[in-house]
Amino acid sequence: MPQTKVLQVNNLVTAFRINKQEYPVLNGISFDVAQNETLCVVGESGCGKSVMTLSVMQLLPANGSVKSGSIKLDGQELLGLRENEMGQIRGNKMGMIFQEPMTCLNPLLTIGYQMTEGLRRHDKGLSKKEAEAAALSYLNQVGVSNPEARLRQYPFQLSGGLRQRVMIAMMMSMRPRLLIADEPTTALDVTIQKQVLLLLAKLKRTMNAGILFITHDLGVVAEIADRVIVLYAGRKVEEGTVRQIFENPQHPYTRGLMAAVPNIAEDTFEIRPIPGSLPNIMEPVGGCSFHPRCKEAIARCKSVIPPLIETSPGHMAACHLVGGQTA
Amino acid sequence: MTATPMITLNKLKKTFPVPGSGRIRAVEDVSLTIYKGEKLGVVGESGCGKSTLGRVILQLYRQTSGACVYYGKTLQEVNPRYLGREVKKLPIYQRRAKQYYQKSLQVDLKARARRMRMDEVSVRANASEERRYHRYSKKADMLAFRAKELRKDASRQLREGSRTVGSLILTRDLPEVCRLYKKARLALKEAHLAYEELIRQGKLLSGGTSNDTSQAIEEQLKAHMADAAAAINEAETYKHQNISEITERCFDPAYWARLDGNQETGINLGKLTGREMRGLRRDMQVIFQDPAASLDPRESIGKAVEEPFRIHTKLGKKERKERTLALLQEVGLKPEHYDYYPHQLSGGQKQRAGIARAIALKPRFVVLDESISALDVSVQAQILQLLNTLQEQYGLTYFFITHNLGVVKHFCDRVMVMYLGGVCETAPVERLFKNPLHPYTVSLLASVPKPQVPDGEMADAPLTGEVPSALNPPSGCAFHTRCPKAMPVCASEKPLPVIAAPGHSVACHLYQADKQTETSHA
Repeated sequence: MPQTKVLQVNNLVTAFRINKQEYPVLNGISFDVAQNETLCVVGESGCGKSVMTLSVMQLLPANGSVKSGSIKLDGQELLGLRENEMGQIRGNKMGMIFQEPMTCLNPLLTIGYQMTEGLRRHDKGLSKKEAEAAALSYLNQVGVSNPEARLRQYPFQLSGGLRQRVMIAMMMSMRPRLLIADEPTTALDVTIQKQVLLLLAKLKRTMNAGILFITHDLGVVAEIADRVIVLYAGRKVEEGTVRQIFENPQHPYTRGLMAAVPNIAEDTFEIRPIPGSLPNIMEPVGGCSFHPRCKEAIARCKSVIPPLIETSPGHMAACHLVGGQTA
Repeated sequence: MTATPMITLNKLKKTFPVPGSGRIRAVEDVSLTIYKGEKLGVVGESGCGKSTLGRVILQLYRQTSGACVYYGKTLQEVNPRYLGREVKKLPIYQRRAKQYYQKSLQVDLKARARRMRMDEVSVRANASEERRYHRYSKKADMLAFRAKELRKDASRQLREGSRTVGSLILTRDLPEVCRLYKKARLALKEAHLAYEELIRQGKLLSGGTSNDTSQAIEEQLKAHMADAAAAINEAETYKHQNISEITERCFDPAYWARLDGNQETGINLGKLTGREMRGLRRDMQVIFQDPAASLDPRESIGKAVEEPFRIHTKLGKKERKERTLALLQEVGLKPEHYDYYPHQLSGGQKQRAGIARAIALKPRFVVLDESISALDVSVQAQILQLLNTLQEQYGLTYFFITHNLGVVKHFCDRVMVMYLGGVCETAPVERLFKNPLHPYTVSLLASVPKPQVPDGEMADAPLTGEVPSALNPPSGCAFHTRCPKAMPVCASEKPLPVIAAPGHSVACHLYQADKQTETSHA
């Protein structure tokens, strides 16, 4: 099924400048998100997940910059756009939700003001009344109870789950093509998390948008993702459909992650952590960056960076041990 | 199963006053026994009171009411001040019980008198007589009720007394018993001083190398301990002898047994002085969620881990460092981390440092308040493994607060599910996950995302809405506003915990009908 690609990222390299020296954080990452598709990005903290989304949105901190590659949204190249042009795209075409909604909501303004402000800025012809009516209908759609009262409330008066719903409503009201969700449910209780995940899945269908979903919770990935990419130390180590990743993980790192999660659906479980921790970006590891922690590492892993190999249609892994390349 | 209790909670309550809007009822009537060496998981949504409960147990918050009793040390070892106070109060309890009972007898007489006059009136009936009849009847009922209350007050006094001396509270020789108890306390105090002297001489810690003075002190210590035991034993001989006639039940052996059962062998943490509690802190530790917040950014890891030794022991500088280095190694850190500052460590390493500090003094009971929630899954597993090893090695008891049911399933022995300050269900892990009874537990389990690709569409959310405010909790069962199986009775009556199977108790009206109300909080 040929689907329109909403986001196409090709060979993205992002580096940070620390003490006058450049350290690459993303080393040539490529992926795309199609319409009506959820792409989950999985990895430990520090693996570059958030830097990736910030690169796509071009909201990197001052000492970070995209060195090379291309980022296309609906066919339009984003790299090289001026800041005011990017400002038009962010919000309008790309919506974002973050882990902690309080960092995005202004504590001094009412929910109503913050929602209508965005609507009116992006659609200059909208009157205040019309904007408020629109805000109401969006709040209704995300399942906020008693929306009229909520419009007059301040963020601190809402619970975490409600705030996240308000954020989703605000983002939705722009009808973006791409939705970037950076750990949107990590701070929520499981019961509320379930509600928010269902809401996101529903919105994706009604808006026909693509979702780039960052998380470290594999349970959430299994529920919401269509496709998954696994990041490790700034490189994509595996990519595939959610079924391929969960039922037939190829990369030892992916398998390690799966084994480390205490699965509630299983009766027996032995805690098997991945030993060690992510390498420091200031002291890069030669060869495959996972080899110091990998149980299956061979001599070649220490010297040669493994290329991505397609093991079955749509399923790729970067490991010397896959695809009969064992040497 | 011959499990020995470590801590028992009895109707523990904690409320926080909120200026202008009443009180937040954070923990409501929690009764629970935590057994020695078990890993008890506590789950629930945020705001359900699980962290507050953990902190009340550690006496970081004072409880509003109820008791928290600790069995890790004996009363003799701690010899707390409140025991002396209670011993002093024993005659008062006895006297008051007697007074209340006598009063109740008088009131009963009065009630009987009214009844008799009532009978006279009822013979001849006209309108005004009818009114008088009703007046008498009302008064008689009131008096009867009052008498009953007074009798309750009397047994309440005896119950208070029995916490310290059991059924000895009934004896006529109470002054003698009090004297013996005081004597025992004094002997224990002497013994404690001798013990501290021994520690000062470094004998107990390094072992061996006993010189004459320390040997003499040791003799003294033994003698004091023997004195104390003898005094208590002598007091015991008064048991069931020469019973004072306080209430009608005083000669009933079944009642004696009940009073004896009340006698507290553990330490009531809520009654301890700050100083005594500090002494017990080495037994009871806590590991928090955010390892960065519990380490001082300007103090090196070595200094932070060493701190418990500085506060609770009299070890020298060199020995402290030696022990700290050994500890660091035990939790999987390297010796060079001794001189590192918290910002130089990763999240997992910081949590390891937090663990090292918590286990430095070989505690018996550790509260883990979401200790692994902030860590990556791979690191989470590492820390869980470390916690398991330490538990096996030191026989630790864990109070594991978390919202991650997957972790509970594979790490804990027993689970307690909380909702809005109350306990919904307590059960062994395997039972709870196979056969959850409370509707809240069922929906909580259904909400957990499972790392397995679902077939077909995502199921509907099992729970709608959010947790109600603890400022104004729903009437009856707190969960009835969101419960898929709510019945009319749920809104009006609070369900009591019932035992559904050995070790499995549930507080829900669905299971109330045929089961007996739980009497002991086992």
